[in-house]
Amino acid sequence: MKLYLLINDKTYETDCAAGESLLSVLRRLGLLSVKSGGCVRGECGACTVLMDGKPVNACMFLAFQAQGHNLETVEHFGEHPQQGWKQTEGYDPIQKAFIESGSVQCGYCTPAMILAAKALLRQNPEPSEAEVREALSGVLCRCTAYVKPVQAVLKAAEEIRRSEHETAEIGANISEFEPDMVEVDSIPETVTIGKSEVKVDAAKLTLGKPAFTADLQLPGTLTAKVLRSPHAHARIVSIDASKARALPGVAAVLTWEDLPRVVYSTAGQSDPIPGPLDMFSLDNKVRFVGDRVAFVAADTAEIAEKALGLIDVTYELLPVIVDPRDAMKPGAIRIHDEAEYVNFADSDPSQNLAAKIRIDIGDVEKGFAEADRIFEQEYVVPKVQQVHIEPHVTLTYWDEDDRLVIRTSTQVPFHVRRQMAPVLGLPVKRIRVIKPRIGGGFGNKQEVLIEDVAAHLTIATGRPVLYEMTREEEFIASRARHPMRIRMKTGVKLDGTMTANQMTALSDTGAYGCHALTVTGNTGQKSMGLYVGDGEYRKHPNIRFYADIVYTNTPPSGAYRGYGVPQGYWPLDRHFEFIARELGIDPIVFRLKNALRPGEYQPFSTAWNEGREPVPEVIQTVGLEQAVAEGKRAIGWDEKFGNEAWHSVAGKPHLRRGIGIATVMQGTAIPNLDMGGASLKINDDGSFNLLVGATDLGTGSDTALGQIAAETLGVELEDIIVTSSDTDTTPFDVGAYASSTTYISGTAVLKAAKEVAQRIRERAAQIFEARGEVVPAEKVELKDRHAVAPSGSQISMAEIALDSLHWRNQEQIMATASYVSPKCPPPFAAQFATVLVDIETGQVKVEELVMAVDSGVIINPVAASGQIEGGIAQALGYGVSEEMIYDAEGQPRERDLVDYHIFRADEMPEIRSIFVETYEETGPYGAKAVAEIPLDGAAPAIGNAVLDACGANVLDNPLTPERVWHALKLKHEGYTNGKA
Amino acid sequence: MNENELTYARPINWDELNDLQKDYSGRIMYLAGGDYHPKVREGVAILIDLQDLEFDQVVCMDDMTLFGGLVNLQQLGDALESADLQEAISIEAGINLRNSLSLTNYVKSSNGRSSMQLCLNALEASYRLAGEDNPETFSLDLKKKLSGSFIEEMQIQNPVSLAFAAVGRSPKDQPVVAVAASKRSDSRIHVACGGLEGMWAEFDIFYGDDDGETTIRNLYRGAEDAWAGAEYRQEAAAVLLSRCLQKLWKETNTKEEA
Repeated sequence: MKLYLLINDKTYETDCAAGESLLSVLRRLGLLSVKSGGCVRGECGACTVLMDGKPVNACMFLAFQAQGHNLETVEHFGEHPQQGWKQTEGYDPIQKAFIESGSVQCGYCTPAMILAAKALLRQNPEPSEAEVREALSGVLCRCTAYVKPVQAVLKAAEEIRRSEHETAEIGANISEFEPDMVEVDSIPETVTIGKSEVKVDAAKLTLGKPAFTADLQLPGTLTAKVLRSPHAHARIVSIDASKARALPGVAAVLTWEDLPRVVYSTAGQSDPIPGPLDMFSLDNKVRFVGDRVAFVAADTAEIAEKALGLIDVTYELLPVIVDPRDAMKPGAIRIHDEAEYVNFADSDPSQNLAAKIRIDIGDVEKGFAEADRIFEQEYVVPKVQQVHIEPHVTLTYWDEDDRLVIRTSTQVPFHVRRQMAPVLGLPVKRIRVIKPRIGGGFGNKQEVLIEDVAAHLTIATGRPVLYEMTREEEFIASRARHPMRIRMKTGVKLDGTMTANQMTALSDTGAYGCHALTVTGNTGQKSMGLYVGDGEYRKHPNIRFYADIVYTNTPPSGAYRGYGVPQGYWPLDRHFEFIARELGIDPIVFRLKNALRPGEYQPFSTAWNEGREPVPEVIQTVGLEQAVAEGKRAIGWDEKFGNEAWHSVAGKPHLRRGIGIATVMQGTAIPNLDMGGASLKINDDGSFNLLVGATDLGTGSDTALGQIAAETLGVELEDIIVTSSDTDTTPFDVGAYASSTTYISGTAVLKAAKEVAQRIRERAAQIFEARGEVVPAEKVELKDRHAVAPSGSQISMAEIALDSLHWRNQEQIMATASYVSPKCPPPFAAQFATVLVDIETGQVKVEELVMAVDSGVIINPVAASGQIEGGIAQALGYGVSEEMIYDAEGQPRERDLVDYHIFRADEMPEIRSIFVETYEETGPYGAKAVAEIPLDGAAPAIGNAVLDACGANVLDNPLTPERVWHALKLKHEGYTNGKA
Repeated sequence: MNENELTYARPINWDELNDLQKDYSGRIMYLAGGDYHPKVREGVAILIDLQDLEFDQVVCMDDMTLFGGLVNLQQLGDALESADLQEAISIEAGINLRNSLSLTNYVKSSNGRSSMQLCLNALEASYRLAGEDNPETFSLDLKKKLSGSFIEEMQIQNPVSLAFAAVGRSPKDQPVVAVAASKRSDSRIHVACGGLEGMWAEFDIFYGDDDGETTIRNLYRGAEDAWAGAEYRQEAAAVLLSRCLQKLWKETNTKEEA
């Protein structure tokens, strides 16, 4: 049928099936700013369009329902201000405000937010913050905590009111969005470093340019779907795909019988992967509800889905293990009985053991013997999901040289290439992996999760194949944070000195052992490592961390931002809060008394390195005390803590306020393992191409790396053209994980830039000499896009470029460098929360979250504060609302974003970030990591605030109303430690 | 179903609609505004889009307000001017979804955790489905009928006096316990409670009777699922009911004083 749609003031005519959705048609027509979040209940809002001026979800209408209505997408608004000879109107004020405010992180939901803001400001040019939050309430964002988007809309409103025609230069307002900054160390003067530059990728994302994986539309592309297991544990007795294969429009159906049996791990990590190999593309056994059974490729998604229903599978059901405590019991069913299983370290599939950790530092038993009191308690942390709004998506095709191109939303393009090669039966050199823009990953795309699905189908059909997971698949079949049951035992003197600290973890890796060892290792290393004790114990701390990581018939756990550390801080910090209160010591004093200080060894560095040789490391920069001081000031700790008047709410005796703190430490890269490379070359106009293997997944790393190059070369950030993550064209990088990019890849960029800068100085010296001025190269300064002699005479960067490329002794000024660090300098932070607890229902309302963080020198304050805010929002969910539950048969409770609730714009607490800047000598321009640490302390700070409010000591995370209510009951029955 | 055989029609008056209904009897799928996930069912030959038949109108009268079945959630909230109803709708959905989802498709998909539906039930909203003469209140049977029909009209009596209270994991989370209470013109207080997907409980509190605590505790006896335990729900529901009643009484007193 003919369909006519009025979109952005233009009438589109297209053939359309009556049942095709508006979302599908808009994307088919090339309006690719309209995204799919894979949801089926309109939860995410990524597909927002304006229909007759109002924001609606395109997935909730069939295309024909939109006929006769006025549709607008973000393509309607704004354009790049410089289009050669063509005059343009530039960006829309809302786009401009989003760019300047740092509102664009992954950018997947940005067009939707801009449209929602547009609708609001047309109706209400002077909105309140609450009205802005309400307007954005239909678009879920997992990156920003909505802090900067709300600020952006308010700023845009102000700009529009001031003058519709007066547009300041992009970046003019950026300082208004900067966080509070406090210098702890003396930091050298810089020009670009430390400046809140506009992100290099922000503009295109506000304009809705086709930057993401699924935005490339190749003719003849097939749509892939995966048949998933309805059973948690079963053997496939028979599988008949003949009816599915016969369905018109189906190009291929693959079952385990069709594929070579290659065992591998989906964990995207360096070689050798520190974990067992226990996965096949398709197997004759399923190990969780949602495990793979068959792949289908068809002309349309509807045909592919229909084909899934035509595959007949006979299962032999097997006993199911859901509770990790059952996994190692004698007689438990063995989940991995395949002959091809490859062990790593202490993994033992006969015991359902994916990994085992035993770390002893000092003499723990002696430490307990020296203690005046010993505290023991068990805590539970849940399985939670990353919820990147762009689902996993991969497009594969053969290029003109018969090389397989994998265009994929991944954090680890080079690992994808290496790990997929044997699975696909191709040599590495015949695979090219391209990482386009990523719509969020948060660790879940550190998994080589779906690339094989599309690739096998491309190999089978010879055609391009697009596989995009649905939201339900994300919940039942991607990866999640490892749930753990953790027992703490801590010995202390009565003055608060810790004499020994022991953590014993039972970690649930689910059906496959991806990241089992390394995530859980971090749980101990980066939480327990923060506390060494005081006095003599500082030199000889007594710490023990034991963990068993077991298989169960639940979806696999994996990497999630924080990588095991949030699991450690819930029990550790809640335990410390309890101990301090029991000893009658101020909780902050107790923490700082025992915390690591500059010049001390990170205790775990002497004993553990993710299965490799330990590298003892003395920590040089520790801004924890300053972070605590700044955070206390910001949240008003001294006015609130211990102040009964503040804790009560006038006229509402059922409400109680509370305040809490958690102090935390993360890591910065994996020492002697994580490696990043960078190449830099000059262009005719004095601009530079910077090629990095590093993977910007919305974090702003491309911008930070560009700033490092610009600072070193004495040019503007806009002179650095950053290209990242293409295995054919950029240098190797391990990828975006372990908070390594700024530190590792940044140092590689710094090294390459220094080399290029030196060559520029040498050429400049030659040019000066030719002009009759003798200047040693080392005396030439690079600044303001010029090489400047001590006399003040100068040569432009463009002239040096032309000289080197065209005029004399021609050469390409360029350098390639790489970096691997022997150090892992940790960032530190203090996180604070205030809460309001309904003591009759147990409901917790988080009112404020403040984080003061030492991440070394901050390269880009606006971008870095965005990392903190977004991370806090994820940690907030971990604290109060997010968890994944399975019944006794392994059936999941959560399959969508209604049941798995993440915070909306109109319910967020106030969030504030502060940087206390130390200068880390080993980092590029003094930088340490920032991306993961905000995940660590919010949940325990909230838990501690609830304890402070009403005495409810909740041991299991998250703090659901029922758990708080139960803890209150226990308290009333006289149990203060949260257990009867 | 062959997608190519499926047709689409947008009648502009009742006669056209009637003709299509006769021609395609049993093979019709109505498009009654925005839906969570519009998907064409097997065996459907025509999609009849109802948007030009003025089912998206709200008519306010002295004693009642009438809503067409294509009214969206945002319109509904705006029309009734009840802060508690608006809060319930806000819990239900962000602004996009409220602009998109129609009353018909909402009611069809609602469950015992649907905040707005609990409020509508407390308000004793009545629904007249297509082709039926008599309005009926909410029931599972009504939901079932909606899979092949649509709401022509929903009626809510004026004035609206509603209190809503819920407990979830965050301010906008779907509730695990929720209570809505409405003061009726005959002085009854009608209570609807939920928080479990399959729970559709309603009861009346009469002036001079008890405060409903025993009733609501009984209703939540055994109300256990993956989201919360029965003991907790009983306690929390009693608290929420008490708060709703206090709110209604306060509202009544304020009006009387005025």
